[in-house]
This record gives sequence, C-alpha cells and structure tokens, in this order.
Amino acid sequence: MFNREILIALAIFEALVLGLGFALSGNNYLMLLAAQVLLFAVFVAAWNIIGGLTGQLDLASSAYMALGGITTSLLWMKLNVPPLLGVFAGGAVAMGLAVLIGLPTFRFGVKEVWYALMTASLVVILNNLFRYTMGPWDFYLPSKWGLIYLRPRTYFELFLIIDVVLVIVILVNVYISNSKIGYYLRSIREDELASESIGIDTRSYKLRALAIYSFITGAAGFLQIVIYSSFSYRLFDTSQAISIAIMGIIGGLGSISGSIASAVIFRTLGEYLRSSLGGVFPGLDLLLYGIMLIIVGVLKPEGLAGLFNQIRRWLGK
Amino acid sequence: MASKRSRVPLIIAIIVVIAVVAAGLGYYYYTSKPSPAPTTPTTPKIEKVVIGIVQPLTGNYAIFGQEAVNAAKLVVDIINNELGGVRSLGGAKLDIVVEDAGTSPESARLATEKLISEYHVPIIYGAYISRFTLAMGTVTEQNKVILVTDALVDDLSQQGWMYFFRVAPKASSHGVSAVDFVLDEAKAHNVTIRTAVIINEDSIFGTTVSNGAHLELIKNGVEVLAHISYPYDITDMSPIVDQIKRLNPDIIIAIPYFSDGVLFAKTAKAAGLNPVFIAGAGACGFTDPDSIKAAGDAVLYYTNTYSYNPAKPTDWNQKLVNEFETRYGKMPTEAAGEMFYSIFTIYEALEKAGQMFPNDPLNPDNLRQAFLSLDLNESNSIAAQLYPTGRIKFAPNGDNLYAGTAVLQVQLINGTLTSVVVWPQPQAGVQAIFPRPGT
Repeated sequence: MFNREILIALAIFEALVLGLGFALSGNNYLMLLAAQVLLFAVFVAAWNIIGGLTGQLDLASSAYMALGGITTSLLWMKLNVPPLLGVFAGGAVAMGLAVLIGLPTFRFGVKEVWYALMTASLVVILNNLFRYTMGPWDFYLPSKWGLIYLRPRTYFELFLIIDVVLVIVILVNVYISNSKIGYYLRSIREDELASESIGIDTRSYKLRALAIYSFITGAAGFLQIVIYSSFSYRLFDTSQAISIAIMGIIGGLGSISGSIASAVIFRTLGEYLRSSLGGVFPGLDLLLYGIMLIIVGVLKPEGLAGLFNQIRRWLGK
Repeated sequence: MASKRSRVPLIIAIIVVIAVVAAGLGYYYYTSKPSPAPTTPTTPKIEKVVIGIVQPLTGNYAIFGQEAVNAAKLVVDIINNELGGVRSLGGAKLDIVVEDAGTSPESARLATEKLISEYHVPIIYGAYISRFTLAMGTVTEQNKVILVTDALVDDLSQQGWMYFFRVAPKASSHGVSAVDFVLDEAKAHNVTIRTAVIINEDSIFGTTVSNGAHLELIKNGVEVLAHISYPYDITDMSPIVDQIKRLNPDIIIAIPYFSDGVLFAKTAKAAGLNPVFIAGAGACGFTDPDSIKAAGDAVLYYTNTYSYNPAKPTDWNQKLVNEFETRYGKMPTEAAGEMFYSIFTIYEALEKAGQMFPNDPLNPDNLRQAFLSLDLNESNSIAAQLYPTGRIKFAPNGDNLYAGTAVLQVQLINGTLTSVVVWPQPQAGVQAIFPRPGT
C-alpha cells in the first residue's frame, strides 16, 4: 500500500515544505502566501479523488468547501463547539449533501458533461439559497485565537496546520490509489460501461469517491474562512470551483504529485502576477490558465504528471 | 536495473542538501534582518513617509480603484511640490506604494502583508470592498498599522479596532442624509411628510444604507409603510411600483444599483406614480450621466447622495477638481473624492504627530493620538474644505463624527437634463426643486 518509494517521495516533499516554511518564517507576506498555496493544494488534491482517479468532472468544490466551512464557523459561534472538533461536523455535512446529490445522480446515470453541469449548478443553487437565508451580510469570526480554534497567532503555525492536512490528503490519495477501490475507480474513469459489465458496482464506488472528496473539502473549508476572517454566501463561488478543477486537469488526471505541483506553481504565479502586474494587465492570470489548458490538451494530455514520468524515465536511463 | 537504482539516491541526496542549505540560508537571511517594525525608529530626520494603498485594480471594481489611485498620485504631488511635504517632520515627502487588492479577501490580505513586511508602511488606505477591508483590518490591527478606509459598510467600525479611521460617510450616513435632506426641504416649503416607503437593492451596501434611512425616518416621526428589498438584476419593477401606488406614501427613499434605478424610474413614470418626493441614496444610479442617458426625463427631479461634492465652492476643492480634470481628462467622482480628503486628513494627522510627538511621530500609538486629536473645519484644514459637511473629527471607533453626504438632483437646465448639487450647500445659481412639480 505505502511502498518505500512513496514514503521516500513524501519525506522529500515534506523536507522541502518544512524547509521552505522555516526559511520564510521571518517574512509574514511570504509565509501567508505559502499557507494559501498549501491550502489550495489541499483542495486540488482532494478533487483529484473524484476528478482525477474517478474521472468525474466535478465543479462543486467550492460548494463543499463553503458548506463545511460555514457549518464549522456557525457551530463555533452559536454552540461554542471549538473548530478543531467542528471541522469534522463541517466535513460530515458537506459529505451528507454530496451523498444526497450523488445517490440519484449516479442512480440515473448522470455522467460526463451532464455531471459537470449539474455540479456547477449546485454551486449556484447553494449561493442563492444561502443568500436568501443568510442575507447579504458578512459574518465575522470571533476574536479568539489558538490551536483549538484552528486559528493560530502566526502564519507559520497556520502553515504547519495546513501542511498536516495536506499530508493526510496525500496519504488518503495514495491509499485509495493503491487499493482495490483505486483500481475500480480507474477502471470507471477509463470505461464505465465496460467496468459495469465486468461486475464493478460503479454507482457505489463513485459515491464512495464523492463522499471522501466532499468530506475532506468540507473539513478544510474552515481554514479558508480563517484566512478570509469572515464568511458570507459569496463563498459559494463558481470561479474558484472551476480553477480547482483546472489545476487538477493541468496536473494530470489521477496524479497526486502533478495536481499538487500545478496548484503550487499556478497559485504562486497568480500572486506574483497580482502583485507585480495588477492593474497593468487585468485578468492576465485567467488568460494564462486558458493558455496552459490548451498547451496541456494539445501537447501533454497527461498533464504535469506526464512530464514527471518523462523526467523519471530519463533519470532511470 | 542496477544503473537505474544508482542515480535515484544521488538525486534524493542532492535535493535534500539543497533544501537544507536553502532553508538555512533563508532562515539566516530573514532572522538576521532587524524585525520588521511598522514604525520608523526614533531618528529625528524622516526623509519620507510611505503610505500603502490597496485598491481593486482587477475585476468588477477596477474602474473605482484606478480612479482612486490616480487621485492619490495627484494629491501626493501637490503635498510634496506645493506644500513642501510634512513641515512638522522637517519637510518629509509623502510616497505611495500601490497594491492590487485582487479578487478575494485572501489577495487583499496578502497585499496588506506585503506592504507591511516589505515597505514597513505606517499607514494603509483601502480597499473599497468591505469584506476585503475586513481581511486587511485583522492584519493592520495585529501589526499596529493605521488603516484609513474607503469601504463604507457600517460594521467595519464596530470591530473594536484601535488603528482604524474612516473619513468618508459610512453607508448608513447616506440613508440618514437622504432623509435629512427631504425633511429639511419639506420644512422649508411647509410640506408635511407623514409616510414613506423604502426600496433597496439587497446587497450588503444597499441594505445598510436603507437601514440608516429607516431609522432616521422613525426618529423623525415618519411612518414607514413598507421596506422592500429586491435583487439588483431585477427585470420587472411593476409589482413593486403597484404596491407603492396602493400604499400611497408621501415620499419614497430608493437605494438602487444602476440599471434597476432606471427600470424603477421608467416604470414609476409609466404608472403615473408621483409622490411628494423620490429621493435616492447610496451614490449609485438616478443622477449619474449613464442613468440620465438611459432613463431620460423619467429621472427628472430624482436625487441621490454622494460621499464627495465636486461642485463644492471652496478654493482647494476647485483647485483639485481642475487639476484632476487637466491631468486625467475627466471629473473626479466618489472614489477620487474619498481619496482627496482621506489623504489630506492623513497629511494633517502627520503634521499633528510631528508637533505632538517630535521624538517619535510615526509610532503607531502616537499616530493614533494625532488622528484622534484632529478637529478640522474649513478655516483650518484643506481636508475639511474637500469634505461634504466641511468638518472632520474622529470618534474613538474611528468614524468621522461629522460624516455626511452631498445631495445631487437631476434638473432641466437650458433644456438639458443635468445633475446639480442642491444640499447641504446648493451650488451657485441652483436650488432644490421640492416638492415634485404636479403633486
């Protein structure tokens, strides 16, 4: 399941991440950026389970993120449940919704472009629903700080918390990928009809992938709110859901290292463009995403993962 | 196979060594620098004071952000070249560093961190959008950096922040001003106002403005018959107009976005809705050139409230309007106006800090004291000359105690629909047309 090569790769990755964390810990700006980049990587890596491994073009990431994050925040503000526990409830609520939607969706064979459309509309529906129930207001997190609230005083600690979450998501990815479920999911991705004909319960396995992805996304959603300091119905954001899916695709469907690499590279690049060219070329980062998608589609349909494999083959020669 | 194995450990070793060396060097580099205090040390000579500006330069609000940045550049040039910098700081020049707020609170927060970490700014101005400003405020408070904002939603000054100041009138002040204007005019014209209907687009801004108007109406004994919210992209106003007709209020207070305002005015005209007065609030719609073009004479006699009055007849206001027009080829509007008086308020606070605390004027607590001690009016201050009410004095929560807006009305002047300032001081040669003719 977790062979030596994977563990070494993870150890190297962590050495790099922690090294970077220590190196940047004197500069709040870069530290906050690093924390944001890692959190983005968490969402992309979680998406990889449903989008990459299972091949379902899910565009509802921000819906689960917002639902889980808002649940955790409200539990804290209304019932005094510390977010360290609340995130599990947040994840569970997001998962509950995903299963509720997934059951009929997979039962009636909604797939491919129809699945993408349906998940995208889920974000819009929840946006409207929450706008109706919460009103236009921004809700502010209480001024309390500490590990139990997942709201540390320094960005370095926040970075470490997010890093722990990222490691968990990576391990979940690897576990699924290398287990029986992983083979089933990949077979569903390659040819759903054929998988069904050889006796795989495609409905059940797709639902499992959806449940795991939505739980992780919902639980991590609170960390996004911690960075925002406030929450509102605007968290149900279609463009964020689309950028997460795009990162997963550019990274290479099903590749955990590729999806994390693309999240890290593009989120950092996006910030660099905002900071250095903001106002000069408005929207340049979006243009860049578009160009990258075309390049990946034409030259390297396997995404960054394909590039990594090529490098590995070259190293092995 | 053997050769394949031989390279992998080597690569791993190289990566680990690079990572460790990079980490060590980086750590040494950042920790060996003096800790980035947001204040300048107590050196007697200050060459320049850097003000950080965070504005939306991409996305839907970029047009406002760009105008604000242009205004900041103009004001800083005037302060440095014509006023000789901050005199009490030995003629220290002002400098600005502009950061794009991006499209989410997290990018606005990053922008703020960058200004503090890399430029050590003592004062930041931003960021137009309230939830962006909230994310910034958590950072500026923690780092004891003064935040002067142009975001108008009321809640921002209720966070218990120490280093927060807002010169511009908050959202509810717009609603209050609209009501005060109508009641002032009613009194002057011997008209009794007993009932009102409020309609507003349902964003956080529209709702806050309308709540301000609602409370002010109740305070003045006017009965609010209905308070109707609708989405800004509404496509049919007739149910709302019908409801208002049935209620038959004396006045309507409307807080539109843009196209909904046009739609309301046209539907109301077609339905023959003509109460004593229809007053807008919140600086969007009715009286701006695009709305007048789109609605035609349907918006005749409509008013709206603005955070800035470009027609204000004081010397400094006329000077800034002229120079802005010469340099950028357009009239300054809300975003530029808020920047004009906010930067001049910062400038006057810096002057004060230099006088009160000559040894450490940029210490955040000293700077805060200087802001709180300001009591500006048109005879002692440039900032007050630019401000609609002509007075600026901060409450402990950072809001201007004398916050207020100007009211513009659409009138027919020489056969052309034109917006003119009618309140609190009407511009030369005009006065408010009240009540609506034909009522």
